[in-house]
Amino acid sequence: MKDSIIITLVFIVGLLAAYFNILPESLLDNNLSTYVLYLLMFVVGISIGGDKEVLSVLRKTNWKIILIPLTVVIGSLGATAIYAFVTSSISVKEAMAVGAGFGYYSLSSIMISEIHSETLGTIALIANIVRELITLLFAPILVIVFGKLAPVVSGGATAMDSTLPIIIRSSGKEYGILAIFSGIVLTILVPFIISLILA
Amino acid sequence: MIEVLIIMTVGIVLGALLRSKQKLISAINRSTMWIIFALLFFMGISVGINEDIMSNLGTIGLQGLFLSLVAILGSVVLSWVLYVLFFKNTYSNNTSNGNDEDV
Repeated sequence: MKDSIIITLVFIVGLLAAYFNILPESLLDNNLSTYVLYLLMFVVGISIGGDKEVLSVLRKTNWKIILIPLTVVIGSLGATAIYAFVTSSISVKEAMAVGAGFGYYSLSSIMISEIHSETLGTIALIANIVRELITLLFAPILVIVFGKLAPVVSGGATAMDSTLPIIIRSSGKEYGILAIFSGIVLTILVPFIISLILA
Repeated sequence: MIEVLIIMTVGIVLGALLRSKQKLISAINRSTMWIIFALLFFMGISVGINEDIMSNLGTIGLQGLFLSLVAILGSVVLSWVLYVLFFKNTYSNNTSNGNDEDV
């Protein structure tokens, strides 16, 4: 929760500083964010590869666990596609690309900004930060209405880190393993699916 | 953006090789947050200097909010089906329901 608020503030500070022209020219270089993104992906890769739990998590559970991230992919992409089709406020491809962030706002927003447009990248940033915030705020309610898997799929890629504590708290400890697995699979899938949709 | 995929894959392989050095791994984990802060700061800058976005920030924000709600709704509705079919009976024991405290 604290992290999402700090991240939103950092974003707003950057936005205002640039808008009111109080930054040195050198910081306005667009390539900077690309290099930082590369660094982030490298570090995220190391954390996934270096996680001792991953293998034991996989051994402990059966094949059904793969249905959880699959549910997030189908649910997010399907629903955003239907939304785009019904409202015509955005193209189906664009809506699905935003949905394919699965809550992973840092990666999805920068990738979409680079492949497509900064406007869609900003929509992705807001949509995916909101996804994390809604999960943090409403996990207990989601469990009551949609069952114990609901916070896991609502958290999407964030279920492995930032939303994991609230998932364990509202669905139970045994769902923590499912959440970590689903989050890791989705984190790896985000760049692939976004590239595919916007290709 | 094929670079992103390659870089992440290299990271995963390197992480697997470094699995015995958990101190290093957790130090790297802690750095993630700072990298995300830097990334979002730069993202804020590119949005701030983009006139198109700044003049339509309200519309863009609402579109983001709606897409978020829709994506979550699609996921949780499907997960309810999955839960009832496969998970409800397998994983229903010893659940802690302490959902009245903040995390």
